[in-house]
Amino acid sequence: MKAQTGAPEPPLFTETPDWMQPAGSEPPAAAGEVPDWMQPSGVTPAAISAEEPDWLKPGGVTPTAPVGEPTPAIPGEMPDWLKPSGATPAPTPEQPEWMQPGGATPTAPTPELPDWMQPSTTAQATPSAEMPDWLKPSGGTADKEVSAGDEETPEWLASLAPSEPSTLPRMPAIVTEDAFDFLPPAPPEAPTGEAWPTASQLPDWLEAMRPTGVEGAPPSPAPAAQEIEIPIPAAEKIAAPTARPSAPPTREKTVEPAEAADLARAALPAWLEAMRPIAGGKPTSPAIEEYEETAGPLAGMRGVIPAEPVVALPSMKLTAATRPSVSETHAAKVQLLEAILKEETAPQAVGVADRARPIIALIERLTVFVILAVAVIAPFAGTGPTFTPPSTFPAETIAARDLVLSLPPDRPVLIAFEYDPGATGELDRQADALLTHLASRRLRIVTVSTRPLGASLAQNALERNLTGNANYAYRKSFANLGYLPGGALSLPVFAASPREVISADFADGGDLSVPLPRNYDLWQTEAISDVHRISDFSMIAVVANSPEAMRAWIEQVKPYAPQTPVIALVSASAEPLVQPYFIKNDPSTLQDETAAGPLQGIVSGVFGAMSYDQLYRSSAGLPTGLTGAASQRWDAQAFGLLAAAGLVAAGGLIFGLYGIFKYMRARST
Amino acid sequence: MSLVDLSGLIVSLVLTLMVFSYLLGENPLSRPLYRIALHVFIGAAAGYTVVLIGWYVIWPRLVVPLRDLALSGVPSASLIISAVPLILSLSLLFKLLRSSLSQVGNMSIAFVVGVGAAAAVGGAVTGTLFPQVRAGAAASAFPLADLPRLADLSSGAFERLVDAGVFLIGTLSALLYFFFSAQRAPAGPARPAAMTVVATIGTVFINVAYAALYAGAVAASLALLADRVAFLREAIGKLSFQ
Repeated sequence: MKAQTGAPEPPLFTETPDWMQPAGSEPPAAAGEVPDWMQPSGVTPAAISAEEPDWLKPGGVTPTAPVGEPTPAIPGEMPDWLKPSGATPAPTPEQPEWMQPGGATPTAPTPELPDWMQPSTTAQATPSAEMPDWLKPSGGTADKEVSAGDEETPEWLASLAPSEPSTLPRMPAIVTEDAFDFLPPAPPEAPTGEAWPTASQLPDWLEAMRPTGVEGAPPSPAPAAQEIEIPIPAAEKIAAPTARPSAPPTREKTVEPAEAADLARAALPAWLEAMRPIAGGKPTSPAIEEYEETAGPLAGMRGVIPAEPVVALPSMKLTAATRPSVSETHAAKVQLLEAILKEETAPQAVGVADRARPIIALIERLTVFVILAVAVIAPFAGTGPTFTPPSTFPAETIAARDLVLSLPPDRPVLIAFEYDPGATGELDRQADALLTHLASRRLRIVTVSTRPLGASLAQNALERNLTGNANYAYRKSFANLGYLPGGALSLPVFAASPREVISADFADGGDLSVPLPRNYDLWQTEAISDVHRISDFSMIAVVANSPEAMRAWIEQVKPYAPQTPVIALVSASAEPLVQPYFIKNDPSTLQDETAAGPLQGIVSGVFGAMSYDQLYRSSAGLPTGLTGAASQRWDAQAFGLLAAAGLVAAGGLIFGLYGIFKYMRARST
Repeated sequence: MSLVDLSGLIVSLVLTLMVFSYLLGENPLSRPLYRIALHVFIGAAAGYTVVLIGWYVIWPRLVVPLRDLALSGVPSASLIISAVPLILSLSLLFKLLRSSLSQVGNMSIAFVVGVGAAAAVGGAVTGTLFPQVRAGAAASAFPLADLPRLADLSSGAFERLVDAGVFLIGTLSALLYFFFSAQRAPAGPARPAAMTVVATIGTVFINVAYAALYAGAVAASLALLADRVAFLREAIGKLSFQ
């Protein structure tokens, strides 16, 4: 900020149009000196809207006075700083007196105003010791002139007061074409009898905007010698053009270096400086420079920015509004990230060990496969069983067998097939063992599945175990309800009312060998005619290869049939997560904890299937032991498990010794 | 053996060998074979699922009621019941649009998610949480009346005490392992010393549980391998007798 001094300062701009000159300081411009296109056509000055600033109205001061004649000031309608200095109006009580024109004129202190707002006889304040340097006026004359009342007036406020009458209007240093938006539209034709102003009366930039089709325009402009003092805001002076290399060329008037040197540069904080907006937008192209507006108030002007691309057409800002503030810490982190990325993408020398690593991995994988394959395939080449069938059985498998043995013969059993074809090698054995046991007891069997492929697996299991059994006929003693759409969400609905969910069984269209009677009603068939709810089944058996499927049945169906026992036939991989649902009876108590738990039996994996089969045979009086393909499968499973256990142990031993070796070598070095 | 059975046997044998080719790794020979088998399986499963859903859902729940409506002129009860799912299903088609109309399908998504979440939470509380807590309490309990019989090994009291103690320690330590609050220390945040000991014990039990899962997975995989080997032997045997 620069304090006003008594000495006249050099003008910042010498190209000031006449209409910007104060009416009082300079002779008013004649009507003929105003460009015709800037005069309202057919509109008298008195007809100009009251919304226009007074200082823009014809004559610069009074709309009713003819142009060029001195007019009395109207204090209430015109800012004082726009009033001519020669006619000093009486100060208004609404304004501090330092804002009154002719601030240097001594005025009597106003009793209504506080002391610090009273006008000083001299507007210059003397910088005191407490004042920061940047607040001190740069002029030397201010040091000598100290008013009597400045001791009570804040010095920073005193420095703001004008030191002498402000004879010229203040305006921003940057004048763009937008400043002319408020002008009335240019007349399509220049009024006859009015001449263009001479070259000395118009600045170059205004002369360049003259309409091309107007007659009487002077051919060559001459530099205007008007002098005007226009204070420039400090922030605009600080914005050095060299610091914005990407800024597009603008029409702003820049400050002369000599003038800028006199202006104190404000010390902005770094964070505030970083927030300074960068000049954005689309760069000015030659097409824009040559563009001539054809409509609107700017019709006929060249070099105006076309509005259509900005307003109507989609556009994208090309540059960022703000420049990021990059501190040293941020820069260091960026450099570290760049170094990491370079290290990641840089080609690295591949050593012999690296090249051999995929081959070693392949050899390792093939070795494991060969060992397991030999262990699994070898029993099929043998002649007799190597491993005897299990003789000790899990408690949960025994509980499942006992439960089946205790089922009432007049109620059907529901079996849910919740696995996919990929698990048939393991779970089909369990399903076969259970179906064989149920068929031996001539229990009605009903199957269902929430998986699309599970329905077909159930059909295969039924046909595999019940076809040829004279006691079983489809829809009489067994039925496949098929697919239950909706996944786990369909289970509560099915448990509450099976008849509303299932309207056709799997064989209805799936098995063409089964004839379809007319007016066929599935629930009137003999196999399920007495089933109305889930609790009508005597037992629910879920064959699942995942703990989630098993848990869905326990959580969604068990609450609808708390007294109906549920057993799980699951894969060995799911057993650890299903096992907690089975509550083993405590022999020390007489309470049947198993019956009160969610699961009343578990058959897990091939071992569980083999155990259940042995338990069933022993209870039915059938010969135990394994023969034929079942013996070979059992041997293959047993040899495979032994080989897997040996591989795990060998791998652990090898890598353990290797780790110890590396540790010892590192310690020695 | 019929021609259908023979064709099915040959296709199954070839597809099994194509899947086993993945043992050779990613190479120009095995990769296309494995991929073809994979695509055949996925395509067949998808096509089968579409037909099954059409037969089990769309035909009986939408087409049949509409057919009855067209024949009788009176909407059946099943058609009225199917109206809501039909509207929700059709609204899902709006999700295919890349406009604001796609928000129409959010209603169906919200309905499915809301019902699924409610069913899952309710089932987990009543079907898993409460029974598990009850089972854990029962397994950890030890009747005080058995204390005088601890010395008599034949009574089983000592065995039940050890069983209940291991179960109780395992359950508590495994749960406390997931207590991750730490105190400020010069060397960085650290658990309290007592909690560190308990968490270490919990880690042992958790690792034992993971080992059991891994052993189960290995056993299941070996069962599948043995089943496939048995199938190959049987298929080759059948083909050799043809």
